[in-house]
Amino acid sequence: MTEREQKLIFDHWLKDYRSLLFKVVRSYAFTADDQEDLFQDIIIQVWRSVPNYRKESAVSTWLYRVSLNTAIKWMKKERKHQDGRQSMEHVAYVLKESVDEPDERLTWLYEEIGKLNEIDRSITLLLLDGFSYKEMSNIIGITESNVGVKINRIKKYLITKSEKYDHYGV
Amino acid sequence: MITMEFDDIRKIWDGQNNRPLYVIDEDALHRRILLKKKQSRRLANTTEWVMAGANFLASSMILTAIFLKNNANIFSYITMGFMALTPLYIFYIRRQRKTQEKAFESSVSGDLDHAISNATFQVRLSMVMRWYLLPIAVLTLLSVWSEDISYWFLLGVVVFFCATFYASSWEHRLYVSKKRRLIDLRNKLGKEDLPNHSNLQES
Repeated sequence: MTEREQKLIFDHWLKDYRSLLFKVVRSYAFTADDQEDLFQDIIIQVWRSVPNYRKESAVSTWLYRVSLNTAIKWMKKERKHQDGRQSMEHVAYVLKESVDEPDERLTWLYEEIGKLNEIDRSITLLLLDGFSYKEMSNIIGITESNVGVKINRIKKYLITKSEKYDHYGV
Repeated sequence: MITMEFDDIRKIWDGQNNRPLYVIDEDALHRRILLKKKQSRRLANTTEWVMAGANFLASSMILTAIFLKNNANIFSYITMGFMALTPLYIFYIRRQRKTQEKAFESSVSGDLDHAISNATFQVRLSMVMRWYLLPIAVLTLLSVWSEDISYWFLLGVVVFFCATFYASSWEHRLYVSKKRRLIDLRNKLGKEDLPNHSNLQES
């Protein structure tokens, strides 16, 4: 694959699946600084992954696999290097929140997702984006039955949490 | 109290698909690249001065030892000369780097190219310095070998140079990784169509 072909595919992915990447970033990183850092890591891994994509799965599945793996690795690395972070005043944020009014219910949902462990967080994202048990099992690397157990627990958790936030109810 | 069903939660989730959560701030991107450029320049500057200073100091110490001892061997002279010439080489490549700096325009692409150029310089310098350790180690060993010293001392010298070589390999990998990140960023921004000011293959 030439670099030009790689770039064409990468641009197409970034254009069509940008929101998928942002979802992962927002679920795994909570400060602007961290979101910035994780976004950059994910983008770089997505770029590197382009030549390895064999069209055996949907692009969204592939991108979720790459971005979730990157996010989980990033979280582990962050735990190790929390003291070595760049000070806030030196950071120029590349990601700017959209000018649209934020949806409070969505903010709540991201907060709740953020309270889950790394694997449950990944499963929640995939579940909300309509992936099948089999696809989730392939992406996360756990058995389908384990996925099922975790999904039941996650659904129960989110529904219970929604009770405490009745103003978010629909 | 209202309880949501999971389908309601999914509707909230799907709502974000119709509008972007973030947009990319190009000014901020430029500021970030400027920061990377400054960091790479500062690092290159510091490395040059530290390397030149350390070699100058070491050669001065060897020279002092030669004067104090009447029976200094030839290897001590060679080591001293070698180390005394190194700062000159460093200042020569520093001058080349500084001249090259003027070729970069002040733009996102120019600043990114500049940062990559500095990173390339850093990678090259760390590689040269790593291999430079070998002749220094050999000369030092030959120098101490010809004197009446214990094997333990000799072993200590060998261990010292092995540890330094290992540390410099680690340092070199760090610079290569930094450079790779800059190149990835450049690829991400689609810069391969723009004029190339640096040798990206060299690492």
